[in-house]
Amino acid sequence: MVSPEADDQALVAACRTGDRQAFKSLMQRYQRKVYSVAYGFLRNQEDALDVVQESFIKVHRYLANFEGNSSFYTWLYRIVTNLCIDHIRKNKRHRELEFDDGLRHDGEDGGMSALPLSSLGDPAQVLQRREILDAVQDGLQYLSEKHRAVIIMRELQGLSYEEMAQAMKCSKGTIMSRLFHARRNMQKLLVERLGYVPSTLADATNEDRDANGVATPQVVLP
Amino acid sequence: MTRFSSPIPEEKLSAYFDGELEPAERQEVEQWLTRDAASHATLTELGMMRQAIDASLAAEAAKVPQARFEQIWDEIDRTLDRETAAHMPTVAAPSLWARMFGVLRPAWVPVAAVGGVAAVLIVVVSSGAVTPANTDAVVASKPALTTPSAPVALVDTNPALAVAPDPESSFPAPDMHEAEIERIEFGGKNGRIGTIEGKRGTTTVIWVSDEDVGPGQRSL
Repeated sequence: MVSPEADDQALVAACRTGDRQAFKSLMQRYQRKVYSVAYGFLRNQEDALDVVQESFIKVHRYLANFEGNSSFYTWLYRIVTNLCIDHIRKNKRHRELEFDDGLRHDGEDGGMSALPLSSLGDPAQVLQRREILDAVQDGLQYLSEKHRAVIIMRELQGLSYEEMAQAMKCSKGTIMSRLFHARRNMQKLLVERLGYVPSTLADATNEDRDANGVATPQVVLP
Repeated sequence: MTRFSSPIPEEKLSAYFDGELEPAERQEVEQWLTRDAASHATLTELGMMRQAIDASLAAEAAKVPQARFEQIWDEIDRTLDRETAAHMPTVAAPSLWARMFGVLRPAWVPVAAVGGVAAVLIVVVSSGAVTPANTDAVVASKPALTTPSAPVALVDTNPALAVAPDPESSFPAPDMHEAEIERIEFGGKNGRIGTIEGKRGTTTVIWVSDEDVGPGQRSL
């Protein structure tokens, strides 16, 4: 019997021999991440949990087809994404308020540079603040399904544009444009939710810049 | 109309942030970033937003109690059991004989022992029943006994008689020298055996007289 602490590859190999406990270990390792993705898409706890269950059943069913060309979690996230998109398509009549792709970026919203997050201090501390996390949830809630989908696929799952295009059955160019607009809408919603005034944010952002006028890097760039 | 804060289209900056630009475009953006603080800040904001989304959804996932995931696992486990059972080859229902054999299996050895004993007894009893003392049979035959004193009457096995399609003819006719009439009794009457030649071949005839015979003459 393989240890629950074994790496994904070992657990997958054990699962293929019928080791149910190894499969449970694999599920326990990813269940909350899968839930995060599903909840990000669907915005409903029970729907998200249904997708978690369905995802792992599919994983078990098709584990023999997993060739190992990508990592297990990438493969898993693709399954989750497809299930979420299917779920959304089946339940379109229940969807929430949806924005068009072009809405909220008509040139009067200040653009990405007005995003207030970096003005709030150390990122680790900022992200622990309940109001920021709630604001993100509200922002996701009011994004269109397509915008929410690209945001989740990219920001949470790290899918490539090509993978996103396959999942959403559109071109890479469409994904690039859609993601850009989704980010701008998200940015706008965060600003509204947090109640910051763009001019103040601009000042705050300037405070983070060094003597040469270059903003202090706070994230690892690709 | 969108007014970008930098000459780099923000859509391209977004793609650069995602590592999705071609090498030439990527190089172009990187050169611009060295002298444009606003674009650099935009990248920083994108990174912040990514972390905020990730943290926010992780916080949502943390709200789900572990027991709820255990329920899901139980349901998955049951589903996998059903799927596994569905893929198992179907087992045919046991036949009537197989079921009977199964029922009788515990008594098989005693039954076999009793049967064996019974078979031995039948053989023993059967062998005792053919002793001469008990043979008052009307006709009895046994392998040829060629004692000179015994009168011999040959059974006619003429092929002409065997032609008749009666059931008896289906039995193999004894060879002339394989069997012989050892003894014929006529209920205390005397008689003789003879043959009559006719169109249909030779017929063996037994004549019985009404005269009583002595005990020593009853057997031919």
